[in-house]
Amino acid sequence: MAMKNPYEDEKDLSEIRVSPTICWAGIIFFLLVCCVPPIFRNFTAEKTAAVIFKNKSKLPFTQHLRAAEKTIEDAPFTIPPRKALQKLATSILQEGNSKTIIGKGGFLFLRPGVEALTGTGPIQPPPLGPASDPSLKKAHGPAPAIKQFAADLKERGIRLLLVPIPIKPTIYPEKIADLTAPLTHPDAAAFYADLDIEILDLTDAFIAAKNHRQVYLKQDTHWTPETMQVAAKVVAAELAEFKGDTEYTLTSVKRSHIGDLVKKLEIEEHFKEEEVTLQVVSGKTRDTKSPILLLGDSFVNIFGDPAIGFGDGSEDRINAGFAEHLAAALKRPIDVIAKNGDASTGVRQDFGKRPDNEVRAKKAVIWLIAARDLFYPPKLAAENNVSWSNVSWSSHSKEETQETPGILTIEATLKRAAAYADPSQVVYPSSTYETEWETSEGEVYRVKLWAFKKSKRVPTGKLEIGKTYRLKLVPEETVPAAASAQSASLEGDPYFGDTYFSELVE
Amino acid sequence: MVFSSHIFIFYFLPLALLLYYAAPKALRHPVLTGLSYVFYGWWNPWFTLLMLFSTVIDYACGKQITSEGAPQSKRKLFMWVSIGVNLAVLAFFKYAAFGASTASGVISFFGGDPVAVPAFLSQVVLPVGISFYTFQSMSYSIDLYRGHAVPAKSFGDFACYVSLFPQLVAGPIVRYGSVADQLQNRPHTVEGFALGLSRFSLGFAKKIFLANPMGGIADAAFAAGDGSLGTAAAWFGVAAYAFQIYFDFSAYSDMAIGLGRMFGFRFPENFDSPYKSKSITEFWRRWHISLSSFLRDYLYIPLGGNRLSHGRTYVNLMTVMVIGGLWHGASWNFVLWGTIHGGWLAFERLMGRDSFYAKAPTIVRTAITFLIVLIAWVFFRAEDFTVASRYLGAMFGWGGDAATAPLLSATLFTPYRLLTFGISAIAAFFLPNTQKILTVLTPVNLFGSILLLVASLAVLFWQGFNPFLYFQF
Repeated sequence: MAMKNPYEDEKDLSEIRVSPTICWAGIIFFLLVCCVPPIFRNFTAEKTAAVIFKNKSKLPFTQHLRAAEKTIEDAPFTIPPRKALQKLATSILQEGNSKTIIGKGGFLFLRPGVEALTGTGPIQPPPLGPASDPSLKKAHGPAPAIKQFAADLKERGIRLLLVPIPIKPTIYPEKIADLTAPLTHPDAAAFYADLDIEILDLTDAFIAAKNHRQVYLKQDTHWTPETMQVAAKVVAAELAEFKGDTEYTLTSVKRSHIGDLVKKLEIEEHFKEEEVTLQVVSGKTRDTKSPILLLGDSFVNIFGDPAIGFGDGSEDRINAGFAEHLAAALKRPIDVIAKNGDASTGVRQDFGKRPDNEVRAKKAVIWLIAARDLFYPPKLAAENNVSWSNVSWSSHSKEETQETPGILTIEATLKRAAAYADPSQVVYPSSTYETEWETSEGEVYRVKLWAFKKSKRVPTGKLEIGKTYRLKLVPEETVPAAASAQSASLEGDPYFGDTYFSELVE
Repeated sequence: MVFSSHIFIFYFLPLALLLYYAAPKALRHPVLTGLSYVFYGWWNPWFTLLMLFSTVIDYACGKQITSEGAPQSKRKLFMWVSIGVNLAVLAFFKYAAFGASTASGVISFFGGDPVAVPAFLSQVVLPVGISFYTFQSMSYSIDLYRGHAVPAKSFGDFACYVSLFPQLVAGPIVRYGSVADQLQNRPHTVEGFALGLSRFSLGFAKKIFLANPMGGIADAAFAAGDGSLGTAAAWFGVAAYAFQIYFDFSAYSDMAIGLGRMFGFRFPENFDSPYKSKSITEFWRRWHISLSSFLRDYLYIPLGGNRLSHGRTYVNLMTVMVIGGLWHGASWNFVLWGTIHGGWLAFERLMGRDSFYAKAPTIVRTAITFLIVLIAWVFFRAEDFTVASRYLGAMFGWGGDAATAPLLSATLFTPYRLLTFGISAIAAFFLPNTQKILTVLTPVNLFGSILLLVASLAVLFWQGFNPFLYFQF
């Protein structure tokens, strides 16, 4: 015989004044609320629940569970209520979401960018408590990686010019708060001084430009084409000794586009496209043999990469980006490694993978990076896929006569695949990921594939580890859209061999 | 798995109810135990082994404690074995790194060479809800030793009690004595199920409509860098945190109690409008009731409670509150949080019922109580002492001198955030709480709560995923 509950204060005081019939009606209503959405989804469209039992990517079990849960959360039935509520919140309360802040006068701002300015920044100790993710406790700020990169370049006789791009709230604080002066992170000056490297701060140039024109796009994180051209001229002026004599001509074209910040709100239909006039640069602006290398992110690509910016509907690159205008201002082609959202580490690592003789042939590296990436505390950096690793440099050289790899068709088994970001959580609409393949003859290939495009996963992003596929491989640098996209890399030892790209996997 | 996630609401819960009610009566506990292990293992399947270990140890100790003719010394020994093993597990996963760094600090304070904390200790991942289920499991041995409960009929029943998924990871802490009789025999009625789903739905709505928006304000305020947080923003942020932690944690308790009801269990209440308290003493009768009851019955009273001298009573109060603070996490901030509460409890006892303080108007006492709670919350929420002291400085005027302060204020004081803050304040101070609303179940609050669930699901799709705060403890 069990004892009754000995704790007097735990007595149940509830009283039921509902008939059993009404209770049954309530229970059925409740169960319908819980059961109808998954039944509708799993029996009418895709068998989503099955993802729990299929670990196609061979992820560690807990990661697989999180990924399966994410797939279940991305249910189409969540979109209409989300859009309706966002429209309501935006129109009545001027409220954005976790990615976008609604400013004054139609200006939108990237929320993590604003938080980067008001947060602990790059010098103060980051707030990490006993419940913080242990991996964040190991994370370090940008300073060690930047200093090491500068030292590595100096040892190779290469000049480094770091160009932090002031972010939108720095130039337009009055569109969020009652502020008139431009503002940056309070520790920015001390941080730059501590780096002890050559830094070109564009803030003054942008403030001067603000008197004459719009400096940033209203609905987008990025600058206007005119500001970009101002920046290109300011940077070129710093590199006067490298000026060449190639003449370029500029042609105006009008393009319009819905900004990335609107896309993050998911209510594109309630915003008008923003129109810009692009100056298309004619002639050869890029050359991998140029002594000047530009490293950068989406600020470099916004007016060149149609995947994130102002395309004409095709996937063709437009010669109207920062690199083209810098080349025009320098009157010589330049070498470019620019990846959306990956200026902190990815572009440096790609440079480090190049043959040693090609690296040492460079005379100057211009490193263009959104200032917010420098100011993120570890948690915000991790949430925004910004990391600060040191570069592993290739020790191999490449002979002038050595051929670059051509087009190949192989049949191989997928051995490993990098885990890529959730398309709904990143600012950029497309991403590649690195994979490793092995043929039946034992040859190993590194291949980049599209993970997602236009914020939607594509077939090449859903391959199964252990399965054999047929791939058409091309050198990565021959696919500009893939070269400029954010990319997830395989973990492990640095890889210095050829990396291919494959658009089609069968 | 989290109650407010798609996987739980749309898949796990309907499936769990189906399996439970379709199973023959004799198999319901094994089914519930299996479901609970899946629920818990969803975070990390390895963690279930730890829970199983704790279950086996306490069940075995319980057997020894209640074995026929067992001498008092043996019964006492096995109660302490149970307590020792559970606290050792907790100590390793939760306190080892903190203990090592504190020891190192003490050594270096006295002139010795600081000892480096072993790297593996700082990488130990805290198993979700470990503080809750170790306390629960431990209560079995203590209740058996004290004669407050009879042993579980079988290991399966006991495993079911320890792993019960509704309240496994964030309470209420259900002492074995509370549910011992229910494990053997509990009614499953349609009215009880309806009451349970209403409670679950109201808790879900509370989490989505109130706790999550308050969390957005608090997170932004506490993430502020030096000088970016102005005085008004600091008070706004900590008040928002006060509302967040109350609505978040009490919502979890509502959902746990509601889910328990759906499976026939009646769990103890955990909250009773704590911010309406007129003193810290009253606050602790209304806040996290299952923890304060646990600490009262298993720590404060065995220490002597208020039966000894005045001085000893104050020491006991302080000891219990500091341990209560440490239970939340291995950090000096939690010790300070407990010290503030313990100190004020002792102060109120010292002042007595006839003091000026005790006779002040209700509104004054409620305001003073809330103010003390707010200041203590700063230590509770801040990641470390540096953040806490910076935050307190901002609250009292030493902050907001950076040019970025107006920018942070502008993102905090938005119409949406002010609106949700206002609603939260009204709900916390003036509206009846969920158990009061559902003291009497009527058709209106039954269907009203389900409609609120539907509305809050829509808002969840908009807000995105938000874990419960108390998971980290």
